Amino acid sequence: MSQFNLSNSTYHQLLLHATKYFSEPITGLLLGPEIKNISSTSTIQITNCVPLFHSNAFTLSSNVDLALTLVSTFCESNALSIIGVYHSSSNNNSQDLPSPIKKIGETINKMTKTSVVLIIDDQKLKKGKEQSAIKAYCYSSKWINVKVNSVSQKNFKEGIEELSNEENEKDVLVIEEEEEKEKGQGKTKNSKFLKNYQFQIGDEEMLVEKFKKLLLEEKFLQIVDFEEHLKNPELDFLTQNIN
Amino acid sequence: MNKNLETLQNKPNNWKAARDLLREYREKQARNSYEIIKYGLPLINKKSQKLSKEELFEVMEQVFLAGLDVNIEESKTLLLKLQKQFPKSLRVTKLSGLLEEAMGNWKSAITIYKSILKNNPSDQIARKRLVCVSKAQGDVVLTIKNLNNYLSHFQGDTETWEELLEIYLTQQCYSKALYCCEELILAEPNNYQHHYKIANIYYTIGKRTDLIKARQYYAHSIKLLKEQNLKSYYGLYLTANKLKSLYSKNLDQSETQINEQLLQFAADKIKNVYLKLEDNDTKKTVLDFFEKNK
Repeated sequence: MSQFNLSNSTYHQLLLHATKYFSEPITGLLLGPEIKNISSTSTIQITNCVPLFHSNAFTLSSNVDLALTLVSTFCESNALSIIGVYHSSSNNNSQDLPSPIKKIGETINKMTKTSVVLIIDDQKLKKGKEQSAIKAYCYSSKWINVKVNSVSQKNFKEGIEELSNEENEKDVLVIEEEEEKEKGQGKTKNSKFLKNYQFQIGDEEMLVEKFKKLLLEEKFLQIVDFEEHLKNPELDFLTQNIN
Repeated sequence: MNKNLETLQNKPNNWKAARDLLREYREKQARNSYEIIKYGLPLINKKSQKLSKEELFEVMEQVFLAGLDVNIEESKTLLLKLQKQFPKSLRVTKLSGLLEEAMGNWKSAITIYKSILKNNPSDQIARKRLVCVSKAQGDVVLTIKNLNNYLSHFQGDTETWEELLEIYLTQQCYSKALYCCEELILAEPNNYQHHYKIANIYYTIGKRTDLIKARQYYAHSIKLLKEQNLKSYYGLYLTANKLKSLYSKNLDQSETQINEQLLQFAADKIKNVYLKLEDNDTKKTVLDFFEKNK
């Protein structure tokens, strides 16, 4: 089972990016520690994010290529790798997963063999509802919506073992893939294998409480994204000094 | 950092800095709604006597607009004050339309704008707001139709060409986006931003002739603005690099040489920009990148 764990600070940073540029579509990259041999049973941590754009720049490959190139160079010298992309459209009614975002996700998938797209659903950020505001999509020949599981704080690290023991088939989308190559090579083993995806975040109540604090401290004003950097090169977009 | 902002962070009650900051934002038409409300509301509520009447109402309008993004209750209060002061004003009616839009009351907003257009058929702002309502409702087809309709009457309106350009980009209609960009360049040929934008689109389409065009437009953008145009230098570098890696067999001797020269020119300029800056992760990454890709 492929497991994605989103760290609390990353979750907050991408929401802060969305807060700073509330009237624009925002895009950014998700980073995590490098994994040497990704398999279908890896646990993939998402520990950082790099905010990129607050405009329709994500639709143009010149901007995306440049951002991916620079962030890849950064990752190489910091034992990180690009895990996925996050996006939030400016319009509540627009389609869930815009095709330029799918393209970015697929490019990342080619680079690092694993990719997740997070869409910020601001309808879920309503007052009084303590819930996470993201939708996750994983790639297995096409983009599939994966349920975001919120795990209580103390179980966050151990959550992997917990969930793998439980029968969570109603939560997890099961995708079957045929290994045609194996058939061709004459292997008699069962050629089908199941690929499960899990996407986990921390305790939702705590996430919302912390986010409220960050908003009061005006932390969103300190977010610097790639577009901002191009206007003022002295600003650093690769490391956000928040939290 | 902005001088006025710095002052306000140390002395939040400095009404002069607040007034100057808001003046700056009005000039640039900046949508820094959070800051406008934060520093503008106290100015209106506590220090209104320090401003001239004219300026006070301009600030009230500005804070009203900011409130539509950040604090809609404040906007409602401000609108009532403005309506009391200017009872039959067209300008204030438009603001009431904006409030309806911000609350999502599309029908009321449309009614307000249509009634404005009945009595003032050449009013551009009301027409544009009608387009904005269809955009906010998510109706892409209708929005494109409305924008094209508007542009058939007002061809010189660059703001609307930019809006149409953005919508075509989100729908990945690159040839139509190119057309919009060409109109922008026709209207404002010395604006480096338009040349930069069209170069981006050509790069995205990505065939050999498009990349060469992209390279030309990035170069022209740089010619129009040599400093503070880092994004065009990056664009020039990327395009020359892509031509070199994908199409080097299709370029003859002189073309290859030109490409190489442009590549080096862009790389050197970018490196020089970063070398003058303080050390940080981005500076290190960029210089690393150029080291590895000599």
